[in-house]
Amino acid sequence: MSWPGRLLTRKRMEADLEKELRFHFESRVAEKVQSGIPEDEARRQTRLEFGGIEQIKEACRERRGTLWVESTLQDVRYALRQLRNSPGFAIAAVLTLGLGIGANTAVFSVVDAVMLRPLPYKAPTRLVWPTFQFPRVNMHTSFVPHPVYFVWREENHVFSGVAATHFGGNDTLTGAGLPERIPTMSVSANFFSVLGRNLARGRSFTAKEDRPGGPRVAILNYALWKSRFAGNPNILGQLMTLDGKDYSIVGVLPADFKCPTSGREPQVFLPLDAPTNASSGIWFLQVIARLKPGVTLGQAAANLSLIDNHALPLLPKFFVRYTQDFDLKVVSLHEHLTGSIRDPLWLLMMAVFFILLIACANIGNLQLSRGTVRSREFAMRATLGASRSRLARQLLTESMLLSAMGGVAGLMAGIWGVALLRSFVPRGLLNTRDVQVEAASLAFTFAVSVLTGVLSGLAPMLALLSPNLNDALQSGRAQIAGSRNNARLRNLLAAGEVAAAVILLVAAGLLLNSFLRLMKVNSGFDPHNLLSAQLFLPSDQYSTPSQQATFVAQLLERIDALPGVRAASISTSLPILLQSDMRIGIEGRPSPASNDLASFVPLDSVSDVYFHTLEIPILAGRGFDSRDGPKAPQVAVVNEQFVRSFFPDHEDPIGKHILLAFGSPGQTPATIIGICAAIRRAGPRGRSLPQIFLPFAQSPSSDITVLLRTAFNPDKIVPMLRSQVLAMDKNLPLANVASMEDLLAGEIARQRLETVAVGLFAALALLLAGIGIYGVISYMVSQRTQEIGIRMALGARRLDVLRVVMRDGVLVTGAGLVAGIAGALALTRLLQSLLFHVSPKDPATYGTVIALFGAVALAACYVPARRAMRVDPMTALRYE
Amino acid sequence: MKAENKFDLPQGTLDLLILRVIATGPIHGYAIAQRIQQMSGAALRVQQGSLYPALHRLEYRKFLASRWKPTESGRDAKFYELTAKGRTHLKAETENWSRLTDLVGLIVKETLEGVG
Repeated sequence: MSWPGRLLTRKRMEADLEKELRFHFESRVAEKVQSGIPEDEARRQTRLEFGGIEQIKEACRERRGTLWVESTLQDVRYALRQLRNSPGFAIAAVLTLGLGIGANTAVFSVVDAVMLRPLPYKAPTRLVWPTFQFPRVNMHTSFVPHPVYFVWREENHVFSGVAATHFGGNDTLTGAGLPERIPTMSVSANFFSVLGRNLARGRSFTAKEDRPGGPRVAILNYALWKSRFAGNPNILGQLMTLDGKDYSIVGVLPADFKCPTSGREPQVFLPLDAPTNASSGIWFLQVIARLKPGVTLGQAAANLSLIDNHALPLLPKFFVRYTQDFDLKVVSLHEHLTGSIRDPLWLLMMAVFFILLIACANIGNLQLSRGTVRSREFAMRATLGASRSRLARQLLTESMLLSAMGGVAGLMAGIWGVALLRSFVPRGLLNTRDVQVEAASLAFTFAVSVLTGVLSGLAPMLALLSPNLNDALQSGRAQIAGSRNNARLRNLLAAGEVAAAVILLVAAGLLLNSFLRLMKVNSGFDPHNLLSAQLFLPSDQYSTPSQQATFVAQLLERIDALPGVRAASISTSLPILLQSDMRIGIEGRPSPASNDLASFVPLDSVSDVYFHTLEIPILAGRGFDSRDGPKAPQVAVVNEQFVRSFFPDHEDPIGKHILLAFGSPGQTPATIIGICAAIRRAGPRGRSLPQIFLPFAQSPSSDITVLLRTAFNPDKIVPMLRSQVLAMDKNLPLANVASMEDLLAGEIARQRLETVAVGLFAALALLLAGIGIYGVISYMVSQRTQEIGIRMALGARRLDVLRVVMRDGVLVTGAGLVAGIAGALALTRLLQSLLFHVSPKDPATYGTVIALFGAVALAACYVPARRAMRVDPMTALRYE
Repeated sequence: MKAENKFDLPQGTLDLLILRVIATGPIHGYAIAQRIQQMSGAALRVQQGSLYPALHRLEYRKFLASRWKPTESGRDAKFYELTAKGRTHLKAETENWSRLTDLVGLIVKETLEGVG
């Protein structure tokens, strides 16, 4: 009979078994009676012969293969009953496991999405990304000068295709509906074929289209086609207007296409149109190539380095320096995209794994305490015929049931946690990934739950195997002979928890410390209530500098009139971004060498009140004012870093002349009229660089950044600002509107998230370890109630009792702290790359963690200790 | 249950004995125990704790079939009989057994002579 059927007829089988044995019994009795033994005596003798009838039954059931199903069902029912009987334990255990498993599910989902899943391109492992490393200055860049790209593309022997992209930029899309700034990207004609992706409609660019002056064509991404063109099936061949120019639409990308470059997902792709020579300047491209089968990354790099020299004659002279000391490295596209997030992710993965271990130890400890209390129950069951392996399985079933419930709770916690962690992934990487709980994460959660079940059931099972169960039955109280071993195991588990929690706390402490230091880095200007927005004046309407200057003057006039605006100014770039640099010289000094990178200085055109608006102090001389009009002599303000670099001998720079655009036909002198404090570009980790400011009126630009100092939350002013701009030009959209505080926060958002996530996990670990210590001490007190009662009856003072109880707690915590500190010293070295101005051995962090843990451990011991001090000697003794 | 009546049955021999007894016709558990005892001149006593698990195992492995029938005393008892599979198994096991005992006997005798 199949075993499901057998399960159904289990009742009948049990009856049959009973009847069969009964028949044997009665036959034996009858035989004895026949041989002249009185019936009572015959029955007694037969019962002795038989021994345990339940054991025989159990053995018979066991001989049938289905027993495990039946007994597992029985165990599950029994375990459920057990949990119902102690709901406090059940809830605590499920919550603990749920948090532990949930944290693992969430982090693993991110690891799976980011690190493990293949990129959404054909044979993605063969896609590579060449970068230049400059070991001397510890820098690397993936920007490739366009002549080098052409040499690579034409002369390499290692790639089946080499594609390039140029700047993701923003262009203004006009036509039906409001004007809109949309992200665009220029790509080489072979871009989509190198990635191995076909278009959903139409075709990719042709070589004829991908050259300067080629026809204006565009490929739309799916989202834009749906939103702006209503998914029009006859879109091909239609025109769209970008920055006032008409482009013919030749293709639409599939819905799941994601661009592998960083930044916002481009909505329109345009042909690269790179010039064939470098006469009009260098284009910096990003290159993606597809390896030929069998070619390694090293071979590819060697081949590129070799042919790189062929590009040298095509490059301007100052590039020679670049090309002298660099290493060319070819990394996989996957590595390029995930490199920056790998360390933080492994850190998180390790943190949540520690949490899970701590949770397991906690449940194990709880089970162990309960196991000791339940030893009589087990002894009873052993006597009634349960084998030891059967009892072990019972315990395992209980912990498996707990971990299964924990797994369900964990899955829910995980789905919630993934949403939280999504912001952890760099935006450029997110483009290619959907981070959510998927099949792999489900499998992982299941595996972790099973592992948890085994791990947390292990300690009670070990305890079960060692003691003599009969002793437990005989002793009047719920104690077993192996109880001392048990206590040692429990102490060991609790100390292990403390150690793991200490490691996490140290890691969190170091990250927090480093984050606080990052926050303290002074940007050099006050970001509070500062709004920034960008405008791009189309070249056909605002072609001359005077048109641009007039527009800006009118705009500033309008903005100044807005309520709540305390100061408004214009610059050509955001103060926190690096901007274009220009070769300069100082009048009366020898000309700098053409390859001297130090002679390239970032330049920014700003309006009069710029320094006032940003609250950048003018240290000497003056800022710009109405004297510095377009007809007045060219003037400049430089920052203190510029003074340090160019006037190191305490020479007064004011009144000296800078030669702008040095060595070019447009070379102009500018008089230094003031020195301002340096501001930190490229975020808090960036350095402050030498910088020159020019009056906007003297060197206007079509790229405008508006900076507003407001009297209140700058968000409120955005609609008014927008309407003022539209009132001046209805085709002019305002782009990248953001408060400076938000922009700066974006720079450190990752570190903030790292710190918050690890901090949360560490807090969780601290809590769990505290509960672990509490459990051990509290159990110890309940076991020693009598002893304490006797001591008190014999005259021990409460303080003595307190000392006895606390000693155990201090020992467990102390051992855990020592092990944890040692582990932290060994492991936090791995954190180095994530820390900012903090040593992984930072004594203050370690000290704080020790103090914090000491306090938590004391609190965890104090509660049961107080209970011990309140023991009434009479009650304790009567209990015996 | 007296010690001098008891042999330790070598592993696997109980199955063989049970199958051999059942081979003579449908028989219930109590009678199997009695038959083994009689045939061995009371030297072998099979305990209930071994007999019934063995019977259930053999039945589970489809060497035995069973049905409930009234005995002479009028009570219902569970009668076991050999299946075709059981018969084959018995034959194979019997051959194995005699080969084994022959070999063991041979070695034991030679060893005894060597020692003697």
